[in-house]
Amino acid sequence: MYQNVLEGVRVVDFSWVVAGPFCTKLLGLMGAEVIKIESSTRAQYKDRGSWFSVLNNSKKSCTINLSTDRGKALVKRLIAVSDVVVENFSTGVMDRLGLGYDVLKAINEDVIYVSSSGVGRTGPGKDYLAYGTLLQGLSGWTSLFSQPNPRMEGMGIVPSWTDPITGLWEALIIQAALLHRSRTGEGLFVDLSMLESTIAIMGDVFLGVAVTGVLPTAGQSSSDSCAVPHGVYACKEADSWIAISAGCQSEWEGLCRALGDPSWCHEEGLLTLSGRQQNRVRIDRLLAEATAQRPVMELFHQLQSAGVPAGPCYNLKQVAEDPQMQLRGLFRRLPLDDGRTQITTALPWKDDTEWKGNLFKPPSLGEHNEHVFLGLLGMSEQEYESYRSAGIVQ
Amino acid sequence: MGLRLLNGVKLLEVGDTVAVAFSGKLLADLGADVVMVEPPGGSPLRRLPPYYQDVPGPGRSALHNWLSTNKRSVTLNLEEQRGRTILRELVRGVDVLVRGPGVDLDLADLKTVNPRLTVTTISLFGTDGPYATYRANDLVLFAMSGFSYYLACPVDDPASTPPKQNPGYQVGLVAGLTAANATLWGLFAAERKGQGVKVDVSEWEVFTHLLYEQTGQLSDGKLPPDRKRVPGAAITVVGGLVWCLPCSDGWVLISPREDHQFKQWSEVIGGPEWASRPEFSTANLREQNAWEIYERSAEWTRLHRKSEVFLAAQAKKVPCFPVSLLSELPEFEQLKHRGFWTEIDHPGMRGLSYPGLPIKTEGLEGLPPSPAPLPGEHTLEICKDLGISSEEIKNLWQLGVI
Repeated sequence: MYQNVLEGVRVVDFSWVVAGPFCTKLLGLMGAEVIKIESSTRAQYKDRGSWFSVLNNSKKSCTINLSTDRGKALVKRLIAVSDVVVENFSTGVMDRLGLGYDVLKAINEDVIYVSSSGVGRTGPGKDYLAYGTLLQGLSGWTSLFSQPNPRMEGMGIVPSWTDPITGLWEALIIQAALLHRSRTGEGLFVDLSMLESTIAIMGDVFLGVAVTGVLPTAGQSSSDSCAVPHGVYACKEADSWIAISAGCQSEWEGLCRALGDPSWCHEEGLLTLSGRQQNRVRIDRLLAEATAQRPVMELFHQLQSAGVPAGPCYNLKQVAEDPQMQLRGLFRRLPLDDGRTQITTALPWKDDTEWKGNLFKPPSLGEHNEHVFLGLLGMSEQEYESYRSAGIVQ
Repeated sequence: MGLRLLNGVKLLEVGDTVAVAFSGKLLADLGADVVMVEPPGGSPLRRLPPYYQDVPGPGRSALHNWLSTNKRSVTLNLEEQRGRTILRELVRGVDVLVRGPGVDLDLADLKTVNPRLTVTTISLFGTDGPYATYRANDLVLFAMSGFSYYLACPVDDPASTPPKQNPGYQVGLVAGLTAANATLWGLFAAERKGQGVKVDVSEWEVFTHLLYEQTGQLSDGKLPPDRKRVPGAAITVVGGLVWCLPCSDGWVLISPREDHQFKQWSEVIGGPEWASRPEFSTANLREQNAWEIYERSAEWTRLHRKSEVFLAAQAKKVPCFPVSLLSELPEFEQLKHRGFWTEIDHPGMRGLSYPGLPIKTEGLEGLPPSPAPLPGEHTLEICKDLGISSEEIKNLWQLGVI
């Protein structure tokens, strides 16, 4: 099937936690064969809770003991018949395992090797230990939402941001490298920084500071800032809110119409955009009084029918239940091994046949050992058993 | 510095959203030949802030310059039949067309011109369904994705603490990054299928898709958390406890989540006796007693600068970083050392640094970045490449087609 467009691309995936798995899930959805290298003796591989399941659909798992020489030799045999290697250990770990780029390049000349780390594999900070959440603070991302405070209220520590963003960059670079390899036969080593991945999509706010010398107001939208009104307003139900932004004249007129033409809409001072800009605070107050009387979903559709950019502040359950999102088919329910089901996400795009990726359940630990060792590496049953009994394949 | 991974890939970009422009920019930075098709007079993106020296005017949008490095520009009036004919000719020679919402093109016709053409459409809510014509901007999509909600969750008083707004084009930029992925996927698909495919990207869907942790919570059948804070609860993110600690000149974020890391942290702050008490001996207990750890750690961190705390912690292998203001990042030594910030001189706009690609590679660096083009800067050369005569070009210019 053509939709599994990366079919035939084999990814050896040493990554764990979030950023790397986020990337390799995308690659798996695109049709690549992703093989997680795991360990059944290390605790971190045993925790396969709800977010693990979301990040590890569409992959295979094999368990190799990398602390042994035979285990290292085994993983090299796998890499020799693979296309991409992904890892996000601390700096130096892959070299100490004897699995650095130079070694792997010698056994697979056109390998694409992506080494992802907190702040990069070079420079004075290369050995810094990092988690994605901490890099959200270092990158300036948290400063977009709140002043630092002891309880981290509203700071942008949650939701996790740097990790999934890094995963998106990683998938992009790998696809570009695959395209390059298909044309030139050349592999690639990529040193990917999570800090830089975060900042590389913040050019708008960094340039704003560079040219104005002023920091953005935390937690307040300034894109399309000439629009009035432009903000988040409380609606009738408890803790229900709607974002509304009326920039051009037709949007303002639509807003007035949707609200049933209250008298303030016709005040002379509010008829033009410049007039409304001078009365921003007052309009915010009047609009908030109006929205507080209305159910949020009803108002949302009324405003949109009148051509006004507006939308409810959803939680994820509400997003997943929204009819448009259901039609897009992003959220899927899949059976898991233990009889439960998971809700997970497909590719965040589709083609003209509604294809949203090769989505299947996350692997159990070592589920694909036989596929990898007997199938891909062509071991005899006897050889495989010798690895198992020696604890190399655990 | 761009790369040359995508040399030979040709892409046309039609549309005036940040998402369209950023997806084209990324592919251009990776080596593709990207031509932006603008209306005569230039794309509305050229009028977006921030402006060079904070003064608006033609050619002064720093945002546009960032979004359009390494591209070429052709101005074309697509309202005119002749303009659409030229676009048809342009499509003949490219691999991909990326278009924004409201760019109405006869895709069936373009497919007859170039059966191998892949078309990526980046819309707000998707090209189909009840919201296909709904309007939105970053503020609205940020709210509808769930980010506004979770960024202000938990809080003490939800009624007086609205969900958060985003101060920039975060949705559009992430949509651009994802659409660049989707476009390369489309190129591989076209190769396999032997003909072009259509790729449909929705900004809203892309942004929602980032909430993997909250998606996992749906599986558990739990209701999303109420925004009201449970008294005393610490913050746990993907399994690890994080503290935000005050220093003499700002704050650090620190996460000594493992037993050995907590022990190392206690050594950083002088090995106080309290740290070895049983109520701090496991991750679960530390979570329960997170506020006491905060108070006691803060007694030490308050006496030190955030750079001192962060370096002392890192020296002991404890994950810790300062909480930065945007203005501090250009001076961060690690980024300088890796040459992350790229200075690009545009005509009349000098000395601004832009974020580069987040990667280092061996041996595939491309040419130094070329500044964003002026509107229609490459119209002439592109028309000539299409074989349009000089006489005809003059004609088209006078008629306002190009």
